[in-house]
Amino acid sequence: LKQTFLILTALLLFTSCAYTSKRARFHTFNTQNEASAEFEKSVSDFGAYYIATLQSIEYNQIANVNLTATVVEHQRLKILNKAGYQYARLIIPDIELKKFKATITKADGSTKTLQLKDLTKVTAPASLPVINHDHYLVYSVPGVEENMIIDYSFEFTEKMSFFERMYISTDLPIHDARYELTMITHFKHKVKTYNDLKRPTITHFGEDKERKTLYSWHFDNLLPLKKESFSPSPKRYTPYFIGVVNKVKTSEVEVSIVNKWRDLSRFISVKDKNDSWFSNKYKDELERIKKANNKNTVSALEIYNFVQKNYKLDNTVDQGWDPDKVIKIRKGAWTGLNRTLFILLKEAGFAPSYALLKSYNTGDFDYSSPSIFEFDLVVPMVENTPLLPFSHYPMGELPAAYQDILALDFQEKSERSFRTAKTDLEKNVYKLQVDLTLNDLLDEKINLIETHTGQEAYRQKSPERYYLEHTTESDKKKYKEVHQNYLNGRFADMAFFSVKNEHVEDVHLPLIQTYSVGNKKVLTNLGDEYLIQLGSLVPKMYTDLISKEERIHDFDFNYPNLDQIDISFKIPEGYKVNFESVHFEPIDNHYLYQKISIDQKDGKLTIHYLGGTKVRSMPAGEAITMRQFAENIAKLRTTKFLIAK
Amino acid sequence: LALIYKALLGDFLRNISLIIITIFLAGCGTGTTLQQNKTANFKLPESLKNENSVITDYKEVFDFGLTKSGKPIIQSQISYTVFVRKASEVNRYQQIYYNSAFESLANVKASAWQQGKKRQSKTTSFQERNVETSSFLSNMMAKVFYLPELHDNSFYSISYTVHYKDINNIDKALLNKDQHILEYNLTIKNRLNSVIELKATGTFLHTEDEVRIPEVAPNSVAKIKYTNLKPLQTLYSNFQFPRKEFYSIHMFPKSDEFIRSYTELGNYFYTLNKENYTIEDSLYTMINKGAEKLSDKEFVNHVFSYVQKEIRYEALLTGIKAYKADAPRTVIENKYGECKSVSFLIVSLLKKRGITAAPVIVNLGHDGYNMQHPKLYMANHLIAYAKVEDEEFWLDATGTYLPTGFVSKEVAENRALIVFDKDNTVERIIKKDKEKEQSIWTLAGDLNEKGSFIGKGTLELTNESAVNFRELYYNSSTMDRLGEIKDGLESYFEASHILNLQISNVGDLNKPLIISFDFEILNVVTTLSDRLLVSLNPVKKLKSIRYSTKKLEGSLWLDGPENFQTKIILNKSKQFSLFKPVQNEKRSSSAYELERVFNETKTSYELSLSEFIKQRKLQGTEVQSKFFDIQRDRRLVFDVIIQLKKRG
Repeated sequence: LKQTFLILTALLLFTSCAYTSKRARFHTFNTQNEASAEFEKSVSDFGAYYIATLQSIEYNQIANVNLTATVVEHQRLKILNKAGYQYARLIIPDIELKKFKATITKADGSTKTLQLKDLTKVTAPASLPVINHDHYLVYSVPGVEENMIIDYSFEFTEKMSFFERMYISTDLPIHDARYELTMITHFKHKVKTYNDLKRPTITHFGEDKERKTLYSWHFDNLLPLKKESFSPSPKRYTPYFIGVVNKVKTSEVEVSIVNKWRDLSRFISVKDKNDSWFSNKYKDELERIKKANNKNTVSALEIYNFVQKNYKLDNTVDQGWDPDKVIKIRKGAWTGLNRTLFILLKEAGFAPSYALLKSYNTGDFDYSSPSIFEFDLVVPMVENTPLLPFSHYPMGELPAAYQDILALDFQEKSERSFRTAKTDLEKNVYKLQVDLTLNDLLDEKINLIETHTGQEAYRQKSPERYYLEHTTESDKKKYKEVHQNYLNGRFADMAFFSVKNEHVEDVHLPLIQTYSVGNKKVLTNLGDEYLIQLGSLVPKMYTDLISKEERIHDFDFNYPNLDQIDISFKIPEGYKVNFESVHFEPIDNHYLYQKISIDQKDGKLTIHYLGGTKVRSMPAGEAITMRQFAENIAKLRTTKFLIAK
Repeated sequence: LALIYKALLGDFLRNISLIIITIFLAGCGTGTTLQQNKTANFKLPESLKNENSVITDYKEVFDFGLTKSGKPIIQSQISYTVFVRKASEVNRYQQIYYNSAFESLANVKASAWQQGKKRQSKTTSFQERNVETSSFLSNMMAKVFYLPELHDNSFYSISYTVHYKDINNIDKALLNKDQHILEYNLTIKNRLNSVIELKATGTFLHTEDEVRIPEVAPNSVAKIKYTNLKPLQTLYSNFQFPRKEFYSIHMFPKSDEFIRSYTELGNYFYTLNKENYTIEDSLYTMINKGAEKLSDKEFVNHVFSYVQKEIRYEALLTGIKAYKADAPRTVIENKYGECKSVSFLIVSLLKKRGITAAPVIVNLGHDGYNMQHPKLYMANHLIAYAKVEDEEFWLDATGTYLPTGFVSKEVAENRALIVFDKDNTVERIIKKDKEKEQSIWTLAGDLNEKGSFIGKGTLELTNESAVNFRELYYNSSTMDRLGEIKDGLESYFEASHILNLQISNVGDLNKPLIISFDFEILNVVTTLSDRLLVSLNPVKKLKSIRYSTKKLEGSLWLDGPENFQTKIILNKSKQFSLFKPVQNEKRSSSAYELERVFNETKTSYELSLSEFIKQRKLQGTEVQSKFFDIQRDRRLVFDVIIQLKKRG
């Protein structure tokens, strides 16, 4: 027993030494204890700040086959005052940690080591800014006081097939922020940075057994990013970097890392079970499509419409990705519907390929970094048109996030980049039509007709379809409430008596919504006169953009759109209108269009509003014009007139 | 069988065999073939033909038993079958919720089959996860899984067993299903030596064939059957209370082992927390330092402020100690705690000083619950109570920005139990001093050529009215704290710019928060041929009540009690004179009072507008019928128009 024990101990010591020596240690965490008094003063409103942070990813090649990443994170947080007590917490990813160390140092210099098991797990704050990991556990640090320093670090290992983006984001000021990426030198690789990240410092290490290349970024005084209304999604402006392996020397390694786009085929499952680009067993289905259309031939559009109409999207279907199964049970996951459309197109003699699409909101496509993180959608494509059979979009139409973006055409043997189509404002139109009489107003019943076309319609239809099909009963109720809130937000102070939707199911027709509403604001009885505020029926739009504050981010309107609002009031016989015309300065530049008029003719008083955004995004420098645009709407909403007998 | 086995085999073998037999019998009990036969000829009733799915059969068996040593042991077995008319509209993702502090879930099974066909029992694996709910229901867990694949005109069934770890927290069969239930069978097996009293909650009155069984005798079985239970609807989940009415049957065993009264509930809680009523001398001395000469009333304020400032509230995700607070010492060391722990710290400090003080069990927002038979799970919040001479203090230290003695609207008007001591629990309704909540806006200025109202304003907010702005200030996510308040103020108007904002008394909770600013409220003027219409007071407070054609049940909670005043001073100008004075008016209802007073002085036109929301709660029917009246009445003080005449 004694001998065994000694041998085991020796073995344990040996392996642990070997384990540590195997790792390259590049971490350059700044060990200083505080920032300058000046810096502390400048951030004291936050109540706390990070003296130093380090996030480090080190790629390791194990047994020539698998790639793993060792992630080390280290934070030194200083609590300045009571406002910062809420930050006395440890935020740790919800995975198995290899190492963990936490100490607190009080103002008097006394230190204490913290163990996770002794700490209280608390609810994660909603404001957690980190976007590098999905799930976190949050622990509260006991005994917080002013000038306490909380220092904690942890390490974990992840199996890697791809290289993830590392985002430079924070919820508190960081005095010394460091990010490191360690690549295996003998992999031909490169490291790319995005969204104005400073150029990396690159250090090459010598000829030791595990040659590695270190990339590091160092930021002084990193501050939280400010959000603004109509600003792009944070991923479009948060700086990030990514390491890419272009070539791997050993043939085995190719199995586990993607170094060219072709390698992705095994992940996107573009091949069927027989490893060929599909066989001839889908003829029956094509015959069905022909029969449905009473034709001998079949077009791509007919196949698309058939799949979209007859196969239900259900991401919970077991094996919903398998075309055989999808055709059999008439439903499938989105990947299954895509594959089914693909094989049917192929079977019908078209030459489909796959399009890899990356949402505009997650940043631009980067072809030099073949990675599964470089795209969000894989869809079939014919004649340069990506097809989304699982969506509520007609053939050829794309959701706003996939319009006018660079995408990848993934063909059987090669791939090429292309730009997806875009729409202009005239395709995405919101129309509001209201015709009023004095009796309508006295009865407190107003009929509003809204017509949505293009993206305006898809935006309204898609969530409805999504929520109704794929969430729990309580989520559906929540959705209905959200929709009601949306209406209430848009038309302030209105009571909705009835809501009628037309063409929700038909993807080709505009969505028409008819509401019967009550609005106390439109009509006020002033003794022998009536005060009428027609503009109060104009939806409350762009209100947040009246702000005089300096704009930081560009504007992001999702897609170009046009709002067309016509509200008329029939002047009753024997009544006279008391109104002096109001001038609205028209706006027409590269980005915005707006024309507003109030007319009185043919016994009617009419508001015409035509306005919208001509492009998806607009530079921050246009904020002054935008303010004018928003003020015009506010002015229109408050314009009144009187009628008297 | 047990007897035969006992005779034939030893204890060990006997137990093993019994388990096997039990499992075998349990398997038979779920009655695969029986159910399938039953469902083979199932047809949806005509009235429900458009429902996507309907629960055909819901069974719940509550078993109140005794262990060998005579302690109560309880479990319930739930199984139900659902008919799926339209598979595409039914979600396969299922969650079974349970309170991990008191319950454990076992034998979760799910299966599906097409009408007349064989049962298919494949489910995607069961997983357990924490359910993040609001801070006071922090022990909820869910077992989540996917049902086997569903088809049109098919069935699925789910069954599981709930074991109650703490007998005092079992008390009801709860039927909060989203689907229509055709038949509901509750079996109560009473193997106790005492009577189990039954009570169905109000919603059962909606059903026509309610079976009233007042109690289940010892060592007997009771069966209750309901048919055609409709799913219950909520209208406004945010401010309608009770949030959702449940079909539920409460069970109250009249045994010493179970809580039977407020006093017993108090005692149970008292026993759990007995030590937390006291605090060590050294800690008391530390906190009392410098406060020795304070009067008792001042000391209450001192302690409350100390806890408010030094102990931060942390909502706990897990916490088996749902009803047992941390010791005051731990709270002081940690500098954080949840509601129970911070409240006990206050109580222990006050008691040490000799002040009457006690923890208060609060049932937040569930005033629909039956309180005649109190149960511990109803306690979802804890505050502290103190009494000095004749003055009572309700102390909720989780309200970080509330002055001493002011409870939030969520806490006010709720039922509460003050647990003074063993056998000394008092039931109360927490009252809030309605006169003391005030928001006073003053806007004074001129009209400019663009038609804006431009000038200087102040906003004075007392007590809870100031909480939102104090929160905006202290919890600002950017360094621009005043900027957040500015944005907050701007949102009150249709369109405005707020500039040069200043704030005072932000840290002194006992003083009103005062915000002063320069303003430009855009587009207030409409020009007519003979006059100008100046539309003022776009500031609005009374919660707008959404209209719905659905019947509103329960009550609707407003933002009251609160006194909301706006004073608008429009300076006289050479450019215009008064065309027509604004009429003075007053309206009142049981819920609110509204008043408008117009005054012309030498230098200005003044409008004094006030909204006094008298209460927190409005009864549903009252709100429903008066919806438009409320909106009409509000126009007295909202969007008031001054008519001016242009000179020259």
